[in-house]
Amino acid sequence: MTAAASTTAEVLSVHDLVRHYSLGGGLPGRPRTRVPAVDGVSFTIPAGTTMALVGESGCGKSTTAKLILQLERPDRGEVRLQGERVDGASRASLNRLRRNVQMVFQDPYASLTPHLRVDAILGEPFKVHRICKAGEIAARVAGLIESVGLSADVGRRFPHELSGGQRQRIGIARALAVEPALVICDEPVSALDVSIRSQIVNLLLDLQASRGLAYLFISHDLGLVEHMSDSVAVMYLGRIVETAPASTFFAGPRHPYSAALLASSPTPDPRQRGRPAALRGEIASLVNLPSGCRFRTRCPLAIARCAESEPVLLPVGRGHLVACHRGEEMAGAAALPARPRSDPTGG
Amino acid sequence: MSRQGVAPGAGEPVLQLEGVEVRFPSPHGSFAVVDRLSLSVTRGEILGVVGESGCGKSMLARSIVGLVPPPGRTVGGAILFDGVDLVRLSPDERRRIRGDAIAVVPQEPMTSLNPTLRIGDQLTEVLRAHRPEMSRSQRRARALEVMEQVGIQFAGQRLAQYPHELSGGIRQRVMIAMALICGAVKLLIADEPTTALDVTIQAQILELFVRLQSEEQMTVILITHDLAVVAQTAHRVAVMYAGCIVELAPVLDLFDAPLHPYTRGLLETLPRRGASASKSHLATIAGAVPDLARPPAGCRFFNRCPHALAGICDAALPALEPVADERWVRCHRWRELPAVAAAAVGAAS
Ligand SMILES: Nc1ncnc2c1ncn2[C@@H]1O[C@H](COP(=O)(O)OP(=O)(O)OP(=O)(O)O)[C@@H](O)[C@H]1O
Ligand code: SF4
Ligand code: SF4
Ligand SMILES: [Mg+2]
Repeated sequence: MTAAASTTAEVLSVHDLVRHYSLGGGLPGRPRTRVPAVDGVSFTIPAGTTMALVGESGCGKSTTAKLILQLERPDRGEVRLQGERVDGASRASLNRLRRNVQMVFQDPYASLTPHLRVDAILGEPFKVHRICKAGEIAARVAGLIESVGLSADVGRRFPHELSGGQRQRIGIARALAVEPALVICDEPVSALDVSIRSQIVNLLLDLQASRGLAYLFISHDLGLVEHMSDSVAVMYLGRIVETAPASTFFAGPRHPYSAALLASSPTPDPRQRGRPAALRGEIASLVNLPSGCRFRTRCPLAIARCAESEPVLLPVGRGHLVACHRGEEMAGAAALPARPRSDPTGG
Repeated sequence: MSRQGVAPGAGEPVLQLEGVEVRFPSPHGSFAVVDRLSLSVTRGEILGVVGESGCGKSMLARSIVGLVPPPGRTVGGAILFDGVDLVRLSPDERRRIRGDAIAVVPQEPMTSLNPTLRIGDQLTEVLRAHRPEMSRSQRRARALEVMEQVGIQFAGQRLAQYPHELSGGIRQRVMIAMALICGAVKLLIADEPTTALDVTIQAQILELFVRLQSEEQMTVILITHDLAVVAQTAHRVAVMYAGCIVELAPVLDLFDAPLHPYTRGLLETLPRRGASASKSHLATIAGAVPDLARPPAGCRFFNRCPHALAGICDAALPALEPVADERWVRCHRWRELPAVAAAAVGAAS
């Protein structure tokens, strides 16, 4: 793949993905309720770029990842890999998917088989996908270990003999074995300590630069998202409510929920306290979705119309889509109310 | 430096720790996870305590309230709360203070709530223990009052619910309500109170702590690994590393001009805001935290410090020294370091 091709081609696109879960079935007097965990999600990730998926827990980020990987079958919608549709029922199609899309998990402790040595963990994908001859596996594994910045002796250890940062490096190495085009990183550094976190972030950036990897970066840390991403998609209760190039998004999000997320995420700067922030109330329940806009129960800008019809994603600028009846008026966080502040100078 | 010899602090102390040591037994003797720690907490302040996993933040909190899990023990030092040494109290006397004048919001709200008891029963249980003179209806009224104080909507309904029926944010508010219910809290210790929460809920909970401090003149010790959280809430910050406080400073001073190489390292690893720095390498701190069971003889940050000098730094553990008004640092070389840093910046540009 040439450099030019890798920046223009899309590695992944999803179109109108829908996945409902059934809750509470089986018990007498309790009807089954269907909740829309992912409800009409569409986006495209160009090769070699990073798209961040942000939003609160339970909003559907991880379910979206599972649908892409066909670990769960979507009720509706399609996933395309390099333009070609992924067919969850065909072995050949699934094989192609597994060789092109890999995943790095939040919890490096839980994601590695505990009774296997690192060498064996990393050798597995080479065997499963018959990537090379049996005699070459050892050399390939050594290469992987080196590429994630670990020394060769790590190969003989068990996962519990590694630090959290080392384990996450092994998780990344395992994802790289098949030389994927896209790696889905689900909160890859949130279980790590600050001083280790930046090492892993740098590794992910280096691998992207050297291998032309694309990332779907699921994270709640907007500081990191700004640092890592080319584009951002914000999810709320199963739907994407805003998507934009990262620079556009961080310069001025247009959806009130995006603005609140940005304003609520604390900055490591005591001189920037009491910025506009703090949504009132909790995330609404998927079981009992409000009419109209799903965000209206918490939205400081809600008007009568918001209860009547659900806003759809509409373009408001270059590559910038917003699902809000008042998206045109919203210019950044300016319209949100301020919250009480603690004076850093004391008292 | 008239304060030398006094526990590091600022104004009128509500809590003073003097040489507090928490130790765990091991096959090769015992080891300290909180190592001769001295600290004075000022009445009415929010003191942030930051540090990486395992540095002893929770053990420090637990030793204050006498809840170090066995086989660990607080073996030395004094913990003066309004002049009374908590270490010397009987378990009964300590229990009377805990949950009343000193309250803790623990690190894991889910495991600290009893899953089989309704919220209302758990709240009033605290009152039954500390306020036996109150009637049933008084206890219920107080529970409703405190739930409203911490911003729980539909408090009446919540009383009848079980913990698993509540969202993470409301569960955390219940924990805070439980800490406040006796109405006599002077010192509130919150251990990672927002780590498990989403950012919009985190902002609400932090706002609540700020309100309790400013409106109720409560003293708050806020333990977190997140520098942004202390930047947003604390008046003073203690930075811990491997069982020791390595730097203690008013929040603006700490972020404007960190003195300890570890503090500087931590602040430098954070991503910068603004697209200009996008996809550039973040600063890192090399290596890993030393094993507390075999701590190094000298400075605990020696193996990771870019300014480490063999023969000096590894010879003896540096003391936590007063360096300016309200500022303390534990580093043999702090006097030279601003110059070192300035030279490095000069050379790079
Ligand atoms: N039961 C135990 N036996 C031996 N060591 C223990 C025990 N419990 C805790 N420790 C050690 O005590 C040290 C301090 O632990 P503590 O829980 O205070 O850390 P912390 O700073 O709160 O970390 P975190 O950010 O992960 O909550 C750690 O090194 C830990 O390994
Ligand atoms: S549509 Fe209405 S309720 Fe929804 S985000 Fe926009 S202003 Fe708020
Ligand atoms: S004492 Fe030495 S090793 Fe320790 S922090 Fe200071 S300069 Fe670094
Ligand atoms: Mg802890």
